[in-house]
Amino acid sequence: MIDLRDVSVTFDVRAPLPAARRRPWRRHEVRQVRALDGVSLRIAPGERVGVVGRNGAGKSTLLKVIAGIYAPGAGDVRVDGRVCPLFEFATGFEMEADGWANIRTRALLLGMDRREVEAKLPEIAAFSGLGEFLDLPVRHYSTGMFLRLAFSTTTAVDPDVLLVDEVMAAGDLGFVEQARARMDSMIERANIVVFVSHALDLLGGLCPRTLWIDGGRLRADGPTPEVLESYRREVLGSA
Amino acid sequence: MQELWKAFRLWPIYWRLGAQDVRLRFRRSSLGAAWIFLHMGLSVATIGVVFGGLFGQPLRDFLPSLAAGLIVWTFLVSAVTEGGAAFLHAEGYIKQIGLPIYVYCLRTVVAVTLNLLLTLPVFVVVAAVSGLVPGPGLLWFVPGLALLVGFAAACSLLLSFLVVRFRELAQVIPAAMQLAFYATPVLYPPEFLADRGLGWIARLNPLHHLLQVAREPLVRSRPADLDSYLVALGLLAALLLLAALTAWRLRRRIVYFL
Repeated sequence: MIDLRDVSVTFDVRAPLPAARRRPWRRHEVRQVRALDGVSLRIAPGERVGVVGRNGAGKSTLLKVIAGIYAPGAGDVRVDGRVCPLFEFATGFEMEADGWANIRTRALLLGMDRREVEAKLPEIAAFSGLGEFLDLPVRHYSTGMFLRLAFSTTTAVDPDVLLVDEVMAAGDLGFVEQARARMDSMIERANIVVFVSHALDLLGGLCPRTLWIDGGRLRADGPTPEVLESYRREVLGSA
Repeated sequence: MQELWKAFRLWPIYWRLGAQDVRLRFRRSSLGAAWIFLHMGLSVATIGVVFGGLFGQPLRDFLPSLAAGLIVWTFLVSAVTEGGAAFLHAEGYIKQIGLPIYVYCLRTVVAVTLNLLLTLPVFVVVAAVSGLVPGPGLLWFVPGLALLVGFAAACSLLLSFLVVRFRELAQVIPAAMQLAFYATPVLYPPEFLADRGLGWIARLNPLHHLLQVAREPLVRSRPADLDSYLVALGLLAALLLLAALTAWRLRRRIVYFL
């Protein structure tokens, strides 16, 4: 279960002063940027929830608060279960280490225990389709090969709470069909999924419920078709 | 506290990352981690010949003490500098994966301890060449080693917060350790200070005592002075207390400073 109460997150950003106000001893000022502003929501076991909003609205910050990466400046966060944050593929990968070592490290970081890693290793290796390249340092891989390795490893996790940021949307991958199926199966295994995406059609098929974040606030929270409709209306209207 | 315990139980992760850090430092070199051993060995040999000659010390006595001192000192320096940079270096991990943050401190403890274990054979070789015969008192090295590892952990827990919050520290720490090196009897025997009425320099220097609890058992097969153990334990307690205070003040905000 995920339970956020009145959660706010503020970043202190060091910004260069405009030339007129700049002094030799004072070149920067600290500006406060409010990324989340009084967000309350509750997500029950079994739910699939989409998150939409413009760039910079606070979607990724919301995921990072749920993942426990950012402690909120105000409010309470409660999350039960093993959280698996999929914001990007590559953290933990070492260019100089070989494919096998990288699979192991990444899998441990995503919360598998050692037995689980060893048990899943053959399957991950097989899905990556990298064959004997797995014995080589990752720096020799092409971008596509690297992505296959990272994707295969990442999607082998069995999370309770799966947090997916848009870069993970499988559309950009070279091996689309298989990848899509594997991603779907991972989402099915998870108990709760929170899914940030700009691909609105994808959300419609995946998540019955959608949150609309706007300027750090929870603008709407409801059935996906309704939320998406008002979101579309506003975005297209102002365009 | 609870988070520290959670991090502690994730040993497969910090063990793996720490060992990888040691290995990758020597990537693409065919000798690999053996360089750690070679580098230390050559340092001991060079410094030994030069300073042993300068001080008119018989190499047979001087070399083992120099080797042990240099090995432990190198450990202390990397414990402070690498331990202090734990969060800084793990920024990508911390911002992408919500693991208990202390995992990255423990990772540096693993790395610097492995480094120490790879340099210890230098002492074994030097001792053998110098005809040093170890006694049962050598076992005192075990608690000494435990104190060193504890020091590395405490340093990392405290400094990694401070280094992120106050970036100047990343420059100050290595410089301070360099200064401390001159004030710590590593290249010269502690007796040199005492003989010239400068014994207080070593006595007031906690790093000297930390050095002693590991060096005395190695070189003389006997425990260090009780003072040294007390100072080492006191230092450990003080660092841990400061670390707890710092974590209490900064833990929730630290990610925002990264």
